[in-house]
Order: sequence, then structure tokens, then C-alpha cells
Amino acid sequence: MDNLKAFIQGVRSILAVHLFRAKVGHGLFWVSAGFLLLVASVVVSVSLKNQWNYKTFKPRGQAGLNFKNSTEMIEAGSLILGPNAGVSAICSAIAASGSGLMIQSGFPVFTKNVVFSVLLGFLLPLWCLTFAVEGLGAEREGKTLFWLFSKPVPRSSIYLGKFLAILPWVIIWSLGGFLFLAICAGDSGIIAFNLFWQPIAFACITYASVFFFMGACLPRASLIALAYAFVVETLLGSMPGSLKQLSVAFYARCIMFQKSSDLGVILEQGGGYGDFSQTMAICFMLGIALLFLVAGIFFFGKIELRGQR
Amino acid sequence: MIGVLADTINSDIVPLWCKKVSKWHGNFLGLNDVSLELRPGITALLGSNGSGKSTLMNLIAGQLYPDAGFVRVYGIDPWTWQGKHLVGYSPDLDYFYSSWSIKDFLARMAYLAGIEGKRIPNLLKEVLSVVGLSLVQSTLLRRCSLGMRQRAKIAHAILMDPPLLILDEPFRGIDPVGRRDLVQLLLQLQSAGKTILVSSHELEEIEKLTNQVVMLRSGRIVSAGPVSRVRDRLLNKPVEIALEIESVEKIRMLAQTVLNHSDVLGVRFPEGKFHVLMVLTRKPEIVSSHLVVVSLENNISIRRLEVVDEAPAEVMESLFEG
Amino acid sequence: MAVNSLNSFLEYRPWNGLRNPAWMGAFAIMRESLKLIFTRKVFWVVFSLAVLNFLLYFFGQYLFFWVADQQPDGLVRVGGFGRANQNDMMQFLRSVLKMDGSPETFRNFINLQSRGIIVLLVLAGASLLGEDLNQGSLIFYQSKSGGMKNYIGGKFLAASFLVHLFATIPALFLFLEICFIDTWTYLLYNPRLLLGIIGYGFVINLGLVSLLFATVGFFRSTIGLIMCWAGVFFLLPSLCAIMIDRLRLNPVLRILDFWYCVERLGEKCLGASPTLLPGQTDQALNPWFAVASLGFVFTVTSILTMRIYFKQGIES
Repeated sequence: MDNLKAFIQGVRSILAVHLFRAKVGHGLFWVSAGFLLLVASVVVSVSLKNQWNYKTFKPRGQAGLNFKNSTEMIEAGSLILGPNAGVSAICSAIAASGSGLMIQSGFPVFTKNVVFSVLLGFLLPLWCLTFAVEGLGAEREGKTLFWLFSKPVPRSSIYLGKFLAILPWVIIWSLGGFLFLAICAGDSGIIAFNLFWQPIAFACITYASVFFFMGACLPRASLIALAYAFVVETLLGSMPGSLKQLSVAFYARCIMFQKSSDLGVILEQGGGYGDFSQTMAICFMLGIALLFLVAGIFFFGKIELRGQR
Repeated sequence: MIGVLADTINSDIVPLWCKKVSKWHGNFLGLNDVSLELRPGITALLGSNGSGKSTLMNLIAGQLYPDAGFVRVYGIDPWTWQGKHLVGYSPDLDYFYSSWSIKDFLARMAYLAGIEGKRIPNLLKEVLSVVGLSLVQSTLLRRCSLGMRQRAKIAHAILMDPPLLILDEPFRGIDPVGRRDLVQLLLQLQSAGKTILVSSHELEEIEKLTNQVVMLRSGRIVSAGPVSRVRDRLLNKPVEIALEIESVEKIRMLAQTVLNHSDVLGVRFPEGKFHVLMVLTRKPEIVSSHLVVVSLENNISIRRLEVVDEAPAEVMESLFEG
Repeated sequence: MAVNSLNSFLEYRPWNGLRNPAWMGAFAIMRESLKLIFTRKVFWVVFSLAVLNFLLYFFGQYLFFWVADQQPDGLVRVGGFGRANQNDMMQFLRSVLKMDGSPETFRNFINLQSRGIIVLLVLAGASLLGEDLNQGSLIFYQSKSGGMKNYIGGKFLAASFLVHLFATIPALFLFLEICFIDTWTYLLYNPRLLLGIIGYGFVINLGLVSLLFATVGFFRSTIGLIMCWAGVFFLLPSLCAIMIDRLRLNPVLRILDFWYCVERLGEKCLGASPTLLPGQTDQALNPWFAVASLGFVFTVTSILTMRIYFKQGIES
């Protein structure tokens, strides 16, 4: 009972002291902001040219016709077929409906190009890493952890309190960044944000937990976290087969694919993304977060401050 | 009171009880089988660099966990959060939340330690005036001088009014006036019934504080007890007298004569210095005058006569060598 | 005796020899920084990978010229394994691996090696430059006669040495190898290639080292360096790919992709025919745009470097 009281008191006081002093070191914050601005400027430039659609879009790595070419071909075909009014009408109807669909296709194009490849694959892990690794990692490297350890509060409450102190910032920054990109992309971006903010937020919490664990318990945490972000999340996450189930982004993708297919847009077929229902994927993500939180509390409780004899 | 060999005691009322504590730093044995028992009052911890002072203090403050043995503060393990209530620790390290001011730092630390928000301003006022930081309380910690940071650390240690204070090198970087104040403060705390463990290199400050010392060497306690006992050991240590004379031929004859004196423990001829005779003794005054007498009797003119072993550094060294 | 020797030690001893000019200090700084890099494990890992790549190209070339030398009976013996069609092998080496001593050979080789340089500079760059800023040891350099100019010069030389050790020198070895295996007329026919290898080496040198100086000076830590370089070498290319290859924006936007520009310039130096990246649809970028991009990066990073290193009182 005493333990519980001390624990709650510790979490509360750590949170109160550190919530508005979450540290981001070494100008990493500016790198994150710079990346966001860079991507946003690209998104804006695409929006200005009104090109968030399949009209000129060509699937990656395949030569050949794009959709614009094919509608043009249908129109040209109708001209060749001559003055037969029926055929010509059918052809132009197909062409018109096709191009109408193409112009409305901003959502999948934006989702595939920006949300999946850039945001989920690169920016999100990096942003979470920037905040989460610094949470206790900065205190470890700056050797200020001593001041926390000399307080009569359980170690677990220090860990949890610090985690809760950085979590809002991670979520605000990630969702804010996503919203910013979405607004830059216009209507199709807003649709994507409305649909996807939830899985992005869950992925964010999970990343924060994983990176926070690394920052608190591992030596050279930032390097390990970066290696994890690039090797596991980016490389493994885009591999075929079931190896990608090791990455957090996989579960976020599962939810996102299913949400968009509920809307009638099938972004990708197969790939094992249908194997996990939305609830299951959320459970998996939160499970990973919880696992790392518990592991972190366990290992953090055993840390001894070295560097002095 | 210090007891080095403590086996069965009622640990609940003993401020500090270490039993057969050992601590490894990787392959290096930082502390080797240390047993120590402290009673209220000031105790000094002496030792050269790397002798394990800071390790012992970290163990007592619960920042490290012993690999063998145990530490108890009033019967409680200082590694646990309950134990942290009882120990105020001013560490040797010099790392702070550099963007906070002294006042903010202490206020937040007090809050983390579980003091109610309402009580903090009064407490801070009191503590800051005690350590002499009232006028500079809003200076940022990264702009503070070493002495100011040292005072901030001491303020942090006494913030919670703990019964056991561990101060690692508290005099480092503090000016003479500050030292005097700090000595006064520690003496006050002592009379208030606190148990204080102070480490230092500086024997003079320690002598003003207490006559109880514990000496560490290579991770072991080599002696513990009143300073007078240490002094005795110092006085008993043999010293060398260097005698330089004019004539090389008579030096061996002189050595033989000197050896007949009962207080002389031995003589040696330093290499390459043909005019010099080194005489080992525990009573340098008597032997020196004897040397002069013998030389005069034998018509040997003396160039130089001096006791070589009295340099302050060597006093310290001999202390640490036990 | 003891006192005497101490006195003579403390005595001022005038220096009678000739002094080197102050700028020679840059070479001492370079030597010491290289020693520092050579103690790092990551250097030897990357270096051994680079050597493997070099050996691959070395023996690939050898194989090509050896196969070309065989009697044109259509089949050559390959080790103890059997026979292979001479034309097929030549075709494979020429068009798939591009190991035929053409400009493309050297371009591919140097491009691959420069990936290694990037990894090395990212991981060891902080210990080459950042530690001095972090630990406040710049003061030792500032107090010497050459001052910060020598420091910058020495560190620049050290980083440049690494670049050439990985890219230019092995490429020149490959060139020499072909001269020896084939005939020296190869040199006569391809003097541009020789100059191109050196030119490409210096383009990489300038681009990477100026980027390294500015980013290390700004971030001072390995993690900042990695993040920033990941942005330059990972995010920018993929953004460009999205913009140009998939959304069909103006191909000139590829000047945003710094590394593409460097490779494009190298291609131009060597006179190699441009290859398209996978999925790339546009024609290769006009080399003058690439020069502009490199120049822009160089200017910005130089200004940053000057501001960081020559500012009054560097905070540590």
C-alpha cells in the first residue's frame, strides 16, 4: 500500500516537473521540423499543380501507358471508328467516367505516396525517436539522472512519469505534422487524416515506448534506435512475406488498409495485411508498447550510475 | 564512534551499518570487504584518488548496489526508495540541469522528494540562507561558479533534513570564508544529532571538524578511529636524514660510527652521490645532533644536513599507505 | 645533484633550428585525425567492404580481358567447372556487370565506393570533428600559430584523404590494371577517363566534406549527423522519385537531390552514358543544373562552417 502511494506520488511529481521541460537535444528538433517543412513544401507544390490524382500518375517501375494516355486512346479510337453515333457515345462515356474517376482519385495517391512511404516509413519513426530517446537518454548522458535517483520515489515511477511526460509531445508533434501535411494536400489529405489519425496515434505510442526503452536502458541508445528505425521499420517493414510482422508499421498499415477498403479504396492486395483485424492490430501495437514499458521498468530499476569511483 | 568489526548489532538504531561490502567496477575491485558502523557525529573519510571513497559513498547513498555484503541505514536498504528518505547525499559529480536556476532546481527537487508545494518557499528560504546562496538564487546553474554549485549540492543534501548526510569532497572549490561557514554548518548539524560522513583530501579542514577518521586504501579500510591514532602512526614512521660532507674518503668511516648509535635504524649510500650519506631513524632530532657531534670529532666539514621525509605530500602519502 | 638537474631542466633553452611555416601544422593535424579514424572499428569494417568491392572489380576486369584473349572457338574453360560460351560471357561482363573498362565501369565502381564513404563519414565523422567541439578541445588548436585556419585545413585534408582512399585511388588502380592487362594504347585512347576519375573524386570530395563540416559543426553528435544525412541521402531521393517519376512534375526538380547531382556530375566527368534510376522516366539532368546544386550546397555549407568555427568564443 505504501509502495503504491509512493509510486503514484512519484509519477505525479515527475510528470509535474518534467512535462513542460521535455528535452530535445542537439538541434534534432530542428532536423525534424526541417524534414516536415521539406515534405510539406513538396506536398504543396504538388497540390498547386493539382496533381493528387491518377490522371498523370504512373505506377512505380512499370513502363507503358498511364491513365491519361489510355483515356486519350479511347477518345482517339472513337474518332477512328467513325461517325457511328452509338460507338462514339459509348467510347466518350467510358472516357468521361474514367477521367472523372481519375480526378477524384487524390486520396489513394496521397495515401500511397506521402502517408505510407514518407510519413509511416521515414518521418514518424524519426520524430518519435527524437523525442522519446531523449526522454531519459538525455538524463543518462548528461548524468543528471542522479538527482532523480536520490529522491525517495520508486524507480518505476520515475520511468513511467518521464514516459508520460514525453508522450503528449510525441503525439502532438506526430499528429500535428500529419495534419499539417494533410492540409497542405487539400481535400484528399483531409480525407486521409480523418481516416488514419487513429492508427498513426497508436503507432506513435508504440514507437515512443520502444524508443523510450532504448533511451533509458541501452548504451549508445540513439544509434541503436536509429538502426532499429531504419533496419527494422523501413527495410523489414517493406519486405514481402511475414518478416514484416516484426515491425510496428505493419500493424498500422493493416488498420489503414482495412479502413480505406471499408471506404471502397483498395490500396494493396494481399501482403498479409488482411490477416489481422483492426482490433487485433491495435491490441498488438498496444501490447508491444506495454511489453517495452514493463521491460523498461524492470531494467531501469537495476541501473547503477557509473562513471565515478 | 566507529566500529570496524560489527557482527551482531541492533541495526534499526544504527545510523549506518555496512557489512562486508564489496563492489566491482568491471574487472577492477573498487571496494573490498568493507565493514563499517557509524554513530551520530561527524566522521571523515580519507583516502587518495581511486581508493574507493566515492564508491563507498555511492553505496551508502544507494546509487550503487553492493556485489557482496549489505548496507543498512537505520535498518533500511538505501537502494530502495524508503532508504532515500534517510540519506542526504552531495556527490562528487558536477552535472546539473544546466538551464534551471538554483532556486528552481531546489524547488523541483523538493517537490520530487514529496514535500508539499505550500511548504517549499519557506523551506527554500531557510536552506538557501544556510548555505549562503540567498542573493544568487535566481542564477542559472550553468552560469554558476564551482563554489556556488558546490553550495547548491550541499543545499540539496540538507533539503529533506535527513538523519544521515554523505558529503563527497564538500570543500572543493569553496573559498576560505565559505569553508569556515561550511565547517560551522556541519558542526551545527552534528550538535543537532545528525550523522555526517565527509570525504576530503584536506586534512586541515577535517581536523577542524572531527577527530574520527576512516582511511581507505585500494578499496580497503586500513585504519579507523581518532585522528590522534593516525598521528601516532605518522610519528612512528622512520625518516631519512641526508648528510653531505666534503671528503669522500671519510664517509664510510662516518657511517660505521653512526651505526653504533642505538636510534639509528640503518644507513645507505645513494647511487652516484659520493658525498652523501642517508641515515634512517625514528628520532631525527637526536640523531641529527649526534651526527653533528661525530663529524666535529672526526674533523669532517658538513655541507648539508637535512631531514628529507617531512614534505607535506609525503605526510599525506604515509597516511594513505597506512 | 637533484637540485642541479632540476635547474637545468627549468632553464630556458633557445631553439636554434629552422621552423616550418605555420601552415605545415595542417599536415600534423591531418595525421593525428587520421590516426584517430584508424583506431575506429567502423573504419576497418567499411574499409574491408570497400576492398572486397575493389577486388570484385579487379578480377572482373581481369576475367573480361582474359576471356577476350582466348581463341575464338566459342568455348572457354572456366576453372574446373566446365566450359562457357565466350560470347555469352563477354556479353554478361559487358552489359550486365559493365566490367569492360568503359567509363560506365568506373562510374559504377566509384558510385559504390562512395556509398561506403558516406557510411564511414556518418559514423566516424563525429569523432573526426564533433568531439573537438563537444569536449572544448578546439582551444588547443586556436592557441597555436596556425589557428583555426590550420585546423579546418587539416581536418579537410584528413576527410579528403579518406574520400580518395576509398574512391579515387582504387579507381586509378583499376585503370592501371587495364593498362597492364590490355595495352598501353588504352591510356592513349582514354586520357579523358583518367582525368575523369580524378575529377569525379574531387567532386565527391568537395560535396561530402563540405557537407560533413557544416553538419558536424551544427549537430556535434553522431545521431544528429545520421538524421541529417538520412534526410539528404534517403528522404530527398525518395521525394524526388515521388515528384518526378510518379507525379510527373518537372524533372528539373531533381536538383533538389544533392547526391543525384553529384553522381550526374561524375558521369559527365567520366563521359559515361547516363543511366536511369529504376522507375525514372525523365532524361538525365542537365549537368549545369548539377553544378548549380553542388555550388549552392558548397556555398551554404562553407558559410555555415565559417560561422561555426570562426565565431568568437566557441561554446562547449
